[in-house]
Amino acid sequence: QDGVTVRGSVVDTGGQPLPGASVVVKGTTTGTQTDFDGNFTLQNVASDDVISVSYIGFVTQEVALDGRTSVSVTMEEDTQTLDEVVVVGYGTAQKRDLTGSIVSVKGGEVADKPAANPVASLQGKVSGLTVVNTGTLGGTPDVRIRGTSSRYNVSPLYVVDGIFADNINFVNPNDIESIEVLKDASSLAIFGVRGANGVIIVTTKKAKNGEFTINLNSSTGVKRISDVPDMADATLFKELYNEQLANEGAAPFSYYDVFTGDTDWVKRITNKSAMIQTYNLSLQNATEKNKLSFGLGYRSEEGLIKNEEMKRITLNLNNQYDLSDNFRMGITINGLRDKLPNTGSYSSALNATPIVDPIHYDSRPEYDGLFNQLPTEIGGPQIGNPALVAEVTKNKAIAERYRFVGSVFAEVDFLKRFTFKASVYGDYNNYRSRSYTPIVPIYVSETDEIANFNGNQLTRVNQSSSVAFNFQQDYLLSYKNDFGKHNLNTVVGFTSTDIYYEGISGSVAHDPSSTVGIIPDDERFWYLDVYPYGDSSTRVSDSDEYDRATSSFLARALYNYDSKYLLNASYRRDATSQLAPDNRAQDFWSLGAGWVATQEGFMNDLGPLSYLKVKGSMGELGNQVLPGGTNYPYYPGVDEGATAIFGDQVIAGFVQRFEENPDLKWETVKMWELGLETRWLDNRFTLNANYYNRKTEDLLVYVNTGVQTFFDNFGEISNKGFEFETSWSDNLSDDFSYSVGGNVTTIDNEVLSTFEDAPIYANGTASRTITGEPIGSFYGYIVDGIYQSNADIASLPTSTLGTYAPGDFKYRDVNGDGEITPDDRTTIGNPTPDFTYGLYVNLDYKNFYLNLDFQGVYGNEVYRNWGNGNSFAQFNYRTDRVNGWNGSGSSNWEPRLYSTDYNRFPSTYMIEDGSYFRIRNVQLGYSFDHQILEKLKVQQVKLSANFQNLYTWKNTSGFSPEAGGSPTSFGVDSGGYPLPVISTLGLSLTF
Amino acid sequence: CDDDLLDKLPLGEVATNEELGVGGQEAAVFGIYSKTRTTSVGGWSRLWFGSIRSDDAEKGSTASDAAANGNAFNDFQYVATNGLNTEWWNGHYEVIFACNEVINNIESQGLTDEGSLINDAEARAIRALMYFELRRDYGEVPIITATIDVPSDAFAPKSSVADVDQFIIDDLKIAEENLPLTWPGFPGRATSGFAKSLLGKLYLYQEDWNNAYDKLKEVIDSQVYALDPSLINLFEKGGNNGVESIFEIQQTITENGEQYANIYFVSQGVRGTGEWNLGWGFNVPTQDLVDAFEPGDLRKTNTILVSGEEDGGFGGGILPESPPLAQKYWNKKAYTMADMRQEYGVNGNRWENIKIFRYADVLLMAAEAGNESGAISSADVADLINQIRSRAGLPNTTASTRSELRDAIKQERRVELAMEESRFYDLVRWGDASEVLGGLGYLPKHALYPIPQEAIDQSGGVITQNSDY
Repeated sequence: QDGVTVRGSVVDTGGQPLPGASVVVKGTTTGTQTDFDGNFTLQNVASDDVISVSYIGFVTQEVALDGRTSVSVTMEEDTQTLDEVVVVGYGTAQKRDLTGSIVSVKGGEVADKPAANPVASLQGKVSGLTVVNTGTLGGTPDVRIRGTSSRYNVSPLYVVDGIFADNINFVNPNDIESIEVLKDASSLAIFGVRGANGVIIVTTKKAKNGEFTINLNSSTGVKRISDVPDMADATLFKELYNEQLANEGAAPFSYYDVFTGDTDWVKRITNKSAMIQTYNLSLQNATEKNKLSFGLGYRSEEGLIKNEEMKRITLNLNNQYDLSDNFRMGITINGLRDKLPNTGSYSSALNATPIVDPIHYDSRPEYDGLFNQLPTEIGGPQIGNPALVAEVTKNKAIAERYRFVGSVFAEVDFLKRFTFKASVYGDYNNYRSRSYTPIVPIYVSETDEIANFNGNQLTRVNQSSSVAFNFQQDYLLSYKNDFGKHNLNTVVGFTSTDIYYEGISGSVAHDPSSTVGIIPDDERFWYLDVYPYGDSSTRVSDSDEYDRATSSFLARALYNYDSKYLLNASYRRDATSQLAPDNRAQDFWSLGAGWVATQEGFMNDLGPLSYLKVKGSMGELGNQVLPGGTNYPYYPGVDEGATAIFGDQVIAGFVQRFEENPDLKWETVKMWELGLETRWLDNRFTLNANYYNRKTEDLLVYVNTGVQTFFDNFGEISNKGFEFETSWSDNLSDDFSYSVGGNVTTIDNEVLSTFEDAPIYANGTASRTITGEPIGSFYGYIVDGIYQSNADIASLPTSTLGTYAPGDFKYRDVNGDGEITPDDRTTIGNPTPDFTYGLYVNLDYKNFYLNLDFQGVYGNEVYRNWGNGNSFAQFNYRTDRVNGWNGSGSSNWEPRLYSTDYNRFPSTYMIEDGSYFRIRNVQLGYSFDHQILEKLKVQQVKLSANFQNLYTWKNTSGFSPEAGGSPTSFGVDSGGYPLPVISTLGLSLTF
Repeated sequence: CDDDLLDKLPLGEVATNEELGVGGQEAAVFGIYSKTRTTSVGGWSRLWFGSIRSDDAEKGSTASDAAANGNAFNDFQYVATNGLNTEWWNGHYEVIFACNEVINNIESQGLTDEGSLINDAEARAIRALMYFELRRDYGEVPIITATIDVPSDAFAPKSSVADVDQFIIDDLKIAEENLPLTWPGFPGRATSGFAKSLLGKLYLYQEDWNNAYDKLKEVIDSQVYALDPSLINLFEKGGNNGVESIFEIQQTITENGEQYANIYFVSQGVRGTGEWNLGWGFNVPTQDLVDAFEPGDLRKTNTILVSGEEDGGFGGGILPESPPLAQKYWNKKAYTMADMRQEYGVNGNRWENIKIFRYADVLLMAAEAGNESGAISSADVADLINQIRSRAGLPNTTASTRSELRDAIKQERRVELAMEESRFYDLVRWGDASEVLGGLGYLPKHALYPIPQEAIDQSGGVITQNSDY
């Protein structure tokens, strides 16, 4: 034969070699597999043959040799292949067998993004998943799946390598293999009372067959503040304040001579070069019997405000050992050590008057260099000095967290088709903090004296420590069988959890009459027994503790006939220590069905349509929710604060914290969905669509009438909407491939009923939850303009809201009773977007790649809860206030400059359009040529540049259009913290 | 499943459905006392409603500070949605519901031991005080006697003032019967003297002069109370639960610095910087009040603290001038000894009790009731007034006719109880409010405050707004 020998290598799009890929000469049985390094050799091949390379999870590639004897094949991952295996609750399943909605995200998608918390990087990537990010260092995003379905807890359940957790901020994104987002009844019912808010399953890396790799990667970057609100400078402040005092008939401000500064407080407290650095080492080694994966990470990150720093070390270890063909054991550990940041806020920097210099300079040495106090009349008592807080007092605390989340399992296969798996999990979370209250001198210009900041006369040390231990055990029996064309995959199991928490804290102050003086400002002394500075009579201690448990039975069956007709059923019974014994257990279930139309013979030739699945599911799930701090709703405790005093005797009196309710149960969420999964044009184009409908019943409510409190089940909330996901990928040439895609989610939220139809107000904001409106809607007056004259006032309905004059808001008489009264308040905004969306474009050209992510929301309102002035102090003005009404016809929107609460009632004046569109992430990368690297014994070298939050088109006047919050009060912009623009450079080496 | 795993009792605290190890309702009653100390009932709302509305006091602080509250109270631009108004209302009903719970538990458990009867009487006396204050500020209010199990239990239509008064009288009659005369072990706990004083005051508001005099006379005749000879001591920590005290909201700072106090005094402290940062500077005396004291009246220096002047033996030295201090006068009854501030390491006064009833008030009310009813001679009326004047270092009153005595009593009440949340209500009661306060914006409808919008909203309209609002 005149055959030639062809050598080649097979790599994935990231340049990683693919060992074990099948390489076959098309139309023959000649073939081989790639070795550990992804290389293959084929002998006796005709020079015009076509070779076909296939690998599970990748699109099969066909390569014409065209006389070449050396080929390099890059395999495209196929996230939609029929054989895709996804992680589901208590096991894995082939995606084609499922009737529910599960979105898989590869670990790589979050690993190379700058966010410490992996869920932050999912923003805009998954339909149905709303992530509202915060710029605060170490802050937790507000995450909701398919709307807001409860009053207290809407955050999803996280399952990390099998253990239930409330968050995943302890997982290094670099250690993640995959993230699965579960959204519908069929996928979630197996999680019972924890399932209703959706589940995010995180699986950390495990070594794959035959793999031995070492990866080192590092990134360095900077954060930059953006979208700073326009606030008055000193000149404008004086102009506006003078006008205001004149309007009020008050004397002019008499201290301009001592307050001659012009300070941009936001700039003053900002860290201009906030750094972010990560270093990760990971190692995977798999032999025939043993699979080991090890990851070590270090991260340091600074916040936007000066002196905010977080340091984190993470550890991930996963080892599985096959004792025999049918018996396996394994261990997983995720460990973390955090040095937690002292975070601040920009609120007071926005409020502080610019006319003050941050620092006082003086010829008297003891006065020189002190921080200046703001004028007593303009925020002195309320704000003090934002720079002092950012640079001094905020930093007197040390907080550390250690967390170890681990598990061991043993699994045995028996009787051919059965597998029994027992797992034991532990989550140990230790938090420690020490802090110091200093005495900080501050210069008071009006009186030319030195005062103690905040009036603080005593130094004090606080120390606290807490441990949470979460113990979980799972026992699962699974059975798989194929009876001809009937395929069955079942699991039954028992699981229990026990969560124990104890925290202790204490404080001690110095003795002002002692000769040894104050507690030194040195962390060596920041302990409760500080001697001889601490005054033992001031030492107080406290503790906080709870213990709660659940015990559950679960079962699931996945059935299909010929991969055409699918049926899924799940059941779970959850019992909890938190409810009354007679009412302790609740049942949850789901049923799902699907039809893969393209498997039908009569659908064989459908032109461009390659795959069509029609699916639907329904079920009843639970939401185990209680407002923070309540652990024993069945055993209401007594309030320790209810202490009676008689003379100097302190007698612990108590009042019941709330009325007990033996009938209390968890919330039930009834949900159903209908969906389509389609692929077109040889799987290059995909389009998935779902309609979801979730109705929360028996809302668990903490009723506080202002005078009495108790828990009850009452009220209903509905969330429904559509989800669309689409993608298109193609190769324009061997060198150039691209993919584009996107997702859109609509959310239609409505509160169907509340307890006795009473509205629920969130304290201090305009948020109101009431029957017939979206949850947390903003509630207030409609501003129809400004009263231009007394004649204008006389011609319009009288207002009973307070005194008003020309230049004040003209509130609308909504109920038309001829008077402006509190009854004229109405719904003035909805914090839930009409839809949220994400888009991506990925381009690969030779060794370069470019990934662009876009994301946005549309149709929601944001309540501006900053820059509206204050009843108790004069704050700085938004620049917009320069247009304040100052005579007939001067403005019909900005009220006069006047310190009255009349214009501060929640109204449409504070409502801003929350829609935005953001260039969420831009990543440009270069992979060095595989062939060159081989000589250096390096598998891969990759360089990348990443830009996050590059630009946001928005309509709000605050830092960020995103404002998370509680389920009943969100979308309220309190001016706190901007979302930074983060630019990083990364290097990754794989050996 | 396995119930052992799921039987988790609360850690570190008793649950209310466990045996608490104390008899009767004693512990729950202590809880009621603590609730009277909350900011909403015992805090600065008292100042806005009781003092700042009068001609004796004004808002204070800086011009822009709490300007809206200033409008709402100082200038009679009442607002149903005002936060202080909502707190005041809710705070009172919260105490009332805690009282209901005790009273109803004792009844439903059929407790008749002496301790339980005293607990019942304490709850009734405090409940009566709450209803009295509500009735005085809002007029018609809902009478709720039920233990609150579901929110609808907390709402009822308003009752007429006469019905509210009768309800208060019924409670107080039981209370005066069962409460002890004194509490040697528990200074400041509710006594029969407190119940009788409140009952006498209610009769006075009803202009039921005979009953008022009889009841107040019983307090005087009990020989438990006397005027504190030292005016300085009276308004200091030393005066807490002193000879003149009939009922006070108890406050203290413990040795280890824990505060059991609300913002009542801190909100009135001198608003300065450094060592003169004693508080927020609200509720300051007017020039009108300063001028109301007769020459030589010792009470003047114990009522008015003046910027730029010596603090008068309190050890704090000379106050800064005004300006930079925003106010010329400050409420000295809220001022403290400098060494107390030093001792506690805290500038704001959180160790003095808040006076609800003191004996001087009882003497003046007795004088008024006696004078109006004619039950006692004008000399006896004058004698009651003179007891007060004598402590103030003033000569006996020259008034002798009923009308002269009436004016003398009005003057004496004003200066004796100045800044103590009595003046506004007295002016309304005497029918003098329009004349005295008219220049400040007062209209007859301002005798009653609008019911908080939140209470109306939450009741779903069961509670209706006062007719003039």
